[in-house]
Amino acid sequence: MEMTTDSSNSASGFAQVIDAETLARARRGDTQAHTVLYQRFGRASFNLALRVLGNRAAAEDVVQDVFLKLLGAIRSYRGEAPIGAWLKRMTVNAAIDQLRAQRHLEPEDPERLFEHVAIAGTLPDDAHDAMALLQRLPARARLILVLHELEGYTHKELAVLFGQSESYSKSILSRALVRLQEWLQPVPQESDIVELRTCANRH
Amino acid sequence: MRQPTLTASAQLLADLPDFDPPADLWPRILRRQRVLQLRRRAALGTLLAAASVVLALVLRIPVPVSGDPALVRLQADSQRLESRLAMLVGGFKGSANESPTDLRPVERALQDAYDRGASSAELAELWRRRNEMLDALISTRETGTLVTRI
Repeated sequence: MEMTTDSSNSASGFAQVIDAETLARARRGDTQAHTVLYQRFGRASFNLALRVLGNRAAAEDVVQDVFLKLLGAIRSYRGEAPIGAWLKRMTVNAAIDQLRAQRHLEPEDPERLFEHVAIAGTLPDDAHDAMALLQRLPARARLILVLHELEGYTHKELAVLFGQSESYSKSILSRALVRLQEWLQPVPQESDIVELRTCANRH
Repeated sequence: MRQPTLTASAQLLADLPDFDPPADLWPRILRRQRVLQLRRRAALGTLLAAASVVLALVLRIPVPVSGDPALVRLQADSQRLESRLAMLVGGFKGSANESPTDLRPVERALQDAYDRGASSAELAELWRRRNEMLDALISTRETGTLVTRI
């Protein structure tokens, strides 16, 4: 799997604009235009799914699912929302479906969510690998962290997505950030944690 | 003095690597799409074939069948016999439920055969039976005799 380190490409990947002519050709069933859409958004979709699911095969399944849906529905796309936003939403929904299918979204309770997550000092050698650290968070926390911090979802949008209050995602995001911080700086001070929680709640 | 506390987390998220999807993923998606399209077309084809037979049976119109002259001939015979019977009994038209009672089993069998995508030979046998039935009904009407089927 080829890798680059510029994560900004992926974060902004869904924000790319597709010209009207390409979209029109895609709507008419032009395979070359479909390929352009994949070239622009396939990578962003793959990375979002991979970060949430932590599994390459599952991420490929999500991308396949998303683009098959796109190819099936593109004729009726009228440009009400940017196509990248549409694809991002489809990717998120497909990833959540995968997590649900694997029963990785339980429990909902923020307190119980982090019960079995490793604490500082118990991590293996890959602890400083960003991707590996992210995968050590509970799936629900990872999803909220990725969507909020990397994909620009607001807590209001997350509340709708999870069918919970805004404070729900704020609480989980705060805990996730604290846990990451503990892993990265194993001996945090109490004032740091208070500041982190305040910071997370401000987002 | 310590760095701002979110720096490490923010840096971790910024350091998340980007991966390229496998090069064969898009060709796989296109292949999968073609398979799904073929399945949809096959399902639609079966549905249309079944619908056309039902319509033909209901409206008494011949079903055009390409590539099997025997079947086309049997269907044409069927139409001719239906017209003759209709003249004798004052016509039977409308829904399949209005077909002469004797014809209903063979018509159901025909519809079932088309639904299953049965072979031309099987379809031809059923059309032949239907024609024999129509012939018998016509004979009954013309001679006033009862036909006993075994």
